[in-house]
Amino acid sequence: MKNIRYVFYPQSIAIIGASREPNKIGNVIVKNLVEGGYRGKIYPVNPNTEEILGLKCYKSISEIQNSVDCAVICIKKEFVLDVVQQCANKKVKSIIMITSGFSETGNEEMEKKILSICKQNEIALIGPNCMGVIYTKNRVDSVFLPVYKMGRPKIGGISFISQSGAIGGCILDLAAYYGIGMNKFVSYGNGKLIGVEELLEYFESDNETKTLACYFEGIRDGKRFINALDKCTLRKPVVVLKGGKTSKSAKAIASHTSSLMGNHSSFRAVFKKTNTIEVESIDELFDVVKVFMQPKIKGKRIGVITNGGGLGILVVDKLVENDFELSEIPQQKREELRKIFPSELNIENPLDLLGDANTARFEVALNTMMNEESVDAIIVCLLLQTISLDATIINVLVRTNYFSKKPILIVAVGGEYTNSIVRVLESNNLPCYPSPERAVNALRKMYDYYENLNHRLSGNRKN
Amino acid sequence: MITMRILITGCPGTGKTSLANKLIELASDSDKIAVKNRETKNLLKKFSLKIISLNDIADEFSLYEFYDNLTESKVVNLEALERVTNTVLDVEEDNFKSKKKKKKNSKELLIVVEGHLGAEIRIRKISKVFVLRTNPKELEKRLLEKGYGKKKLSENINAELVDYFTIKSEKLYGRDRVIELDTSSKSVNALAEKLIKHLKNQKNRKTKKTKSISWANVFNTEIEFVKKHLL
Repeated sequence: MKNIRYVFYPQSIAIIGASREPNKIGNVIVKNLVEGGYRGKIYPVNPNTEEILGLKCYKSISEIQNSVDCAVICIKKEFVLDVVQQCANKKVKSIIMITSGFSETGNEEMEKKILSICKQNEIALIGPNCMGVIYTKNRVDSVFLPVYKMGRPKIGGISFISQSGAIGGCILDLAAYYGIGMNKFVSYGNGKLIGVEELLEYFESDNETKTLACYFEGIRDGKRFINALDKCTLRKPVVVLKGGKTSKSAKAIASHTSSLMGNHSSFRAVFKKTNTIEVESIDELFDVVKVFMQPKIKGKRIGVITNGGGLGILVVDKLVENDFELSEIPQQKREELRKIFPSELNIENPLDLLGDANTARFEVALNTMMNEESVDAIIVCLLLQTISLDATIINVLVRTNYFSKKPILIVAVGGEYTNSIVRVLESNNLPCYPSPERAVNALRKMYDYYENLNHRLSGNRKN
Repeated sequence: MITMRILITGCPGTGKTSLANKLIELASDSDKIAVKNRETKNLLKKFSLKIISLNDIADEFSLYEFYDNLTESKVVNLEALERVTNTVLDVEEDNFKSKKKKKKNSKELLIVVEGHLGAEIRIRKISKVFVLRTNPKELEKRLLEKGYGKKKLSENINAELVDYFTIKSEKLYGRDRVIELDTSSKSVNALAEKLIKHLKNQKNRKTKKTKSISWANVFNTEIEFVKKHLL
């Protein structure tokens, strides 16, 4: 499906069903494109209006003189078939169909007709029953949620394929709030023409996407799915949240995206075999995706720095449970540190800098761990509630992170003040976690991914 | 040493262009303008000064990829800028050298490259990098005066808060080449003198490690300000 690229890289977008009324989907989409700064041509289409948000409105797509790379359709389903035919006549290269009420409500016939027109004319069809597409770099934004209700993430390397618009919306909003950069987002809805299979194939060779996240409920073509996943995971980490694991959710899925959910234990086997990272919740999806902003982890030896004894201990417990090791601090380093740190400070791993630790103490500890060959990754627990640790820690962490060749993860548990610091850290590519177990879990998933990848690349596939 | 290349970089609004212009003014007319320090004056006289603005290079060679409506800025093709800038600098030096031969000019060439993009591209043979720093609250005022919109404003304030330009410069050019200058309240004259003093030390191979500048106090005392600019 070579025309998929026009969904993300269109020179022109027509919004069929554009509207002047502020609360209509057709208005939100035009507004997001105009105000979001999309650089291509925008053609609102609505037979009853002359102009929308200062743009000339067209009676129909055929009235547009220039070519149209992408048509976003958000009209009543009764008119969709006609409009799709008009798009085909106009030689539109891709369609994003927001309109719902097709196979997910039992209306198979009409969906089949739409699919057949798109297939015949090589139109890349996203949807129907989808939430739209975002590409942060050129500001393509056909997601119909208004910006004041759902933030738009900055440019980054994470892309997200979601069968569900809702899950997509949650992740995008979280990423925007915490300043985590994203690349492309696509909600594909019923996905009968372009589903998870085709999108995995597309994202495998999309070099701007460094990490791929994926939510789906069912697949159409098992063989193709496994094959695509197998190839994609060789190029980049793929983090998957699968909806519908119980028999009860099967019915809900049928009316949601009309997918066949399949047997979950077979999916699990596929994920294992293809080195796909499976997660169980939205939180975990977000946790794991952001750990990959960090450099590769190359071994199991972890250094822990904390200014709160209890936090450090909980991290160690979780590390041991997850089969990690604690790095040994060499004797010579210990002696060097002994001269700098107060005498009551125990130079061990976890390195407890004590309750009166300030930024300077953290800086010494961080530099030691960063330069120490026996440390493969660093977990920093920040108890930001203490009087001696102030926000200067941000500058030290951001700087260390820029120069670090190993992953640094932050554990910071707290309320509003902590959260505001966390937002600054995350927007500077430092992944933060609200509990020790969530940080260690993310690190473990990262470790497993690279470990298995190495095996696969060296030909010793681990099953 | 016949030629020397230095870079003035830092967040938009920290006063790079003003400082570069001041250097030109001082060099071209160093007898008339009151430069307090005699040594500074003598040093300036030894140099033939050439200012290269990275924004001008991007303009002249049309190195823009597109105009970004959201951040109200032209997006520069950094690879191209790096290539063109390095070539421009080499050509400048070659011209100077061949002229020097003909005219028996005793002056040395000082090339000052100026622009915030200096922290994004690798310019060859830079001997000193001056990173201009301005207190984010003062910077906010200056950028608002320049008519910056919300998004562009916050992006820059955030970068300044976390020492972005210093860190990037240190990564590109090495820690010992980077010197920070606080431009929050100092006059341009004083800054220019300070910069020249550093160059003199550089010539005499006296390098003093300067204290690094941090706005971490803004994080501590102005958390509402920081929150306002979270992207």
